[in-house]
Amino acid sequence: MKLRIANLVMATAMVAAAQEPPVVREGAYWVGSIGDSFGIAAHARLQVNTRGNVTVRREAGDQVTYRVRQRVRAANEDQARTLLGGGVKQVSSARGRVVLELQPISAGMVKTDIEIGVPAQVSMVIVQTDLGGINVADFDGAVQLRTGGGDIQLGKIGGTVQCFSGAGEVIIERAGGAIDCTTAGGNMAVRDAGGSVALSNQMGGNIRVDKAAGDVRAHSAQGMIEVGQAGGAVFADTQGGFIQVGSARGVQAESMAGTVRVKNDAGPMNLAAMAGNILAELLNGSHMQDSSLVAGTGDITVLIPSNLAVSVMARNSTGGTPRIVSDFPEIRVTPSKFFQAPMVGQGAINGGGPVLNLNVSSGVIYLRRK
Amino acid sequence: MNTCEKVREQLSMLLYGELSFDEEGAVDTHLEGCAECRAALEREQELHAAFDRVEIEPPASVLWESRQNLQRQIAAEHAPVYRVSWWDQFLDARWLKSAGALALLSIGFFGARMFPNLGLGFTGMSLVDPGAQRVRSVESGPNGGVQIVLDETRQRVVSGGLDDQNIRVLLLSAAKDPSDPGLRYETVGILNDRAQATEVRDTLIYALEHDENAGVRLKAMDGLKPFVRQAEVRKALAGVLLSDGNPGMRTQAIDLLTQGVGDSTGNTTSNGLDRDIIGTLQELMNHENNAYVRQRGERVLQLVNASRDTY
Amino acid sequence: MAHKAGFQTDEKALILAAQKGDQDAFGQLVRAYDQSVLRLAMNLLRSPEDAQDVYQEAFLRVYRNLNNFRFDCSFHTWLYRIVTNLCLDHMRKRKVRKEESSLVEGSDGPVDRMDTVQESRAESDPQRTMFSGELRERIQKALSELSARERMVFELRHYQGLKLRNICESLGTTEEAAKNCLFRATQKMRVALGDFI
Repeated sequence: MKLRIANLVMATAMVAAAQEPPVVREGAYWVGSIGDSFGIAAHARLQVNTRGNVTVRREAGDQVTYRVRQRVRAANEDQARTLLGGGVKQVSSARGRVVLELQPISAGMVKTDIEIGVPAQVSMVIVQTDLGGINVADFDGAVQLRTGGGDIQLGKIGGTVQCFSGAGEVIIERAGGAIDCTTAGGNMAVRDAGGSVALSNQMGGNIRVDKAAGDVRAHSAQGMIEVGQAGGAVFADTQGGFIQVGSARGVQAESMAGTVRVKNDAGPMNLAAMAGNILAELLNGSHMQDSSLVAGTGDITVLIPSNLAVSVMARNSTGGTPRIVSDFPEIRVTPSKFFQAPMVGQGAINGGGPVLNLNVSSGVIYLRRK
Repeated sequence: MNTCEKVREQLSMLLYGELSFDEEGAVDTHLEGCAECRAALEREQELHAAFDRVEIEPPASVLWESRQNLQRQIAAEHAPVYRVSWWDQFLDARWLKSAGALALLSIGFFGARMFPNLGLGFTGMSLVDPGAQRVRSVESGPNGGVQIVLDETRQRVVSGGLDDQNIRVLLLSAAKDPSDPGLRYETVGILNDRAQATEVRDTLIYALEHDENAGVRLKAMDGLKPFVRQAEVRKALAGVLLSDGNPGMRTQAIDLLTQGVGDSTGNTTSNGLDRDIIGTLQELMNHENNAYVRQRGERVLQLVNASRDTY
Repeated sequence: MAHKAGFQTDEKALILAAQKGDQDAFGQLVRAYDQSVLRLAMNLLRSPEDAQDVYQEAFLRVYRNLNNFRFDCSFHTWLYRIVTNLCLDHMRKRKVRKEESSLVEGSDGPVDRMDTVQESRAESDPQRTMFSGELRERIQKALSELSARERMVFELRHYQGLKLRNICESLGTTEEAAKNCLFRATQKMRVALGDFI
């Protein structure tokens, strides 16, 4: 059963001025602004459907507040009002979700900015805007955001974050929970996530995650991927650009062109660089698992701590002059038959352990003692 | 000499098959009718067989050793080539950020592969001599001497501030390295700090317009943002609007080009929205399919009272 | 050593690839010929070290000058030109020095150095084995008494199986001259071994 809290339809032009929302002149522009507030139940979710740039702030008190500001260039107030037009403003609610519709019906040249103040008791904010940026500075609950085009910028979000942009950046300062965001194109950056992170860049852009408590999944059609610290595994792929992982429990990374540089704490590594070097650093006391590093045109360098028990199986298929350079006497390097079969280096370091499979088609393999 | 002597002289050639068709015919004819010469032929055959018995077959080990030596020698002549190593940055705790004003680069003179410059001792096969040389050509010189043309590759570490012209030149060339987008990205990042210099800005503009990697182009855009008022930058952004395949790029480009338009200053022309940009926006409307870019373009065009259709 | 036509076309592709820097192609080229080259050098010079020197030098020259190869003769001819030149150089140097015997003093008396390395093709035939030691010595002596040119032509004709028309190309002479050379060589050998056979 739909419970209507408030239902107002904003008048279109030619209504008595006293009843109309104010239209104020600013230079050659006219600015119209409407706003209101309403109450909302505890733990309810707030959804805002609109068009234009949306800014969401934390609101003291227990009411949801909103303001629609529109700006248009017009010769006089009447023309301004005509251009500003009207719109639909409606609040409805069902099954714990309160929906605020703010659909301005105005000429294309009108710039619309929407501000929403959200009280503490709201558990989740959902924003859908046809076109425009979304900015949420501060909110304790979860957010779900969608824009047809525009940047998404989030400050400190207490809960999970889900967002989509048709084109634009996604910048998230902090989320208490998991993050799942996609953009058609533009840079993506997360400074701190309390859960897992999944970032996808459909047409290309750089991705950066400084810190995540859980897994990190990063996909970019083209661009660099940098992950600082992941509490779980990292899955990263890009068609062109480097991949860097500072710390993770397991890494799967694939780049068609660019370096793959990984420091791994535990778990397996599956690294592939089609045209670029692979640099892998195993950390002390690491609980490594069987791993595979494959480089097409590029070198593989693995830094192995002195006390780590690991088995190595390295193959270098470079034509003519394959090289496997090793700091470890336990690794026996069998030279390739003249210009032919791959050069193989294998052995057990510190008694052996999980297997490190290294494969290079055109490059050098370096096994370095840390 | 008589026929038999002549024939016996030819028996060896006969066995080798080196007689002409006619010569062989003549010898065969004689042999048919001469038992002594036939006996001589048998002795010649035994002689040839005896020769065969003394042939030395090289042992497999000698052949193998020869092949190894050859391979080693060729490897020494075919030195690998080195390129920029970001290893130093990687080991540094601040590896997530670029170095800032001071760029420490390891740069080789021929682009190809990275070589980690660790300075650690290691056992096993030695590295190719960093001063490796390859002989390009050899000629007799004057006075019985020899002229040899050498290609030399070596790795050097070059360090200095971004004001150092040498560093600048190397960075500008690294920004265009076709093989590694990561290298171009890092280089653009460093150049962004010095975009006041015209030649640096030109390189960033080049990257903005031509780099095939969207990540690199976005990075270059970052560096050019403060210079959006400059004509060359605006021109480049207009180019991005019309032809960059990445919608993120186009959104940023249109935002930069039209920033300030429609704000409270109310003056559109003073924001540099010149005829070229208007023309670009008009053309853009013909094919832009990203809703955000379209809308912004349309709004701006309406604001300057220009028609959406080209006329 | 006959080369089939099919092999010839593959070889051209190999050479072209090697000229462009394809190391694998170069390796294949080397492998196709290097056993014969080593055999020739060993039989002519009777010393594994010298033979290896020739091998190394010859293939390095090929590697360095491959881009100068213009297909106006066969690769084999070109290679053998290089190899025979190197061998002749060694052989002439040898002649200038005192006649070097392949015999060295071992603890049990003179030992033919070549015995330790050579694997004669004739080992399997018992009847041959009976005569092989003395015969071998006689033939080797006879061969060493040939002139460098005679020895070279003989080696190429008899042991390498090359036709005179190819031999003369590699040696840079006429077929007639090569034929005469071979003739003299076989005559000398016949005389030296006459009572044995």
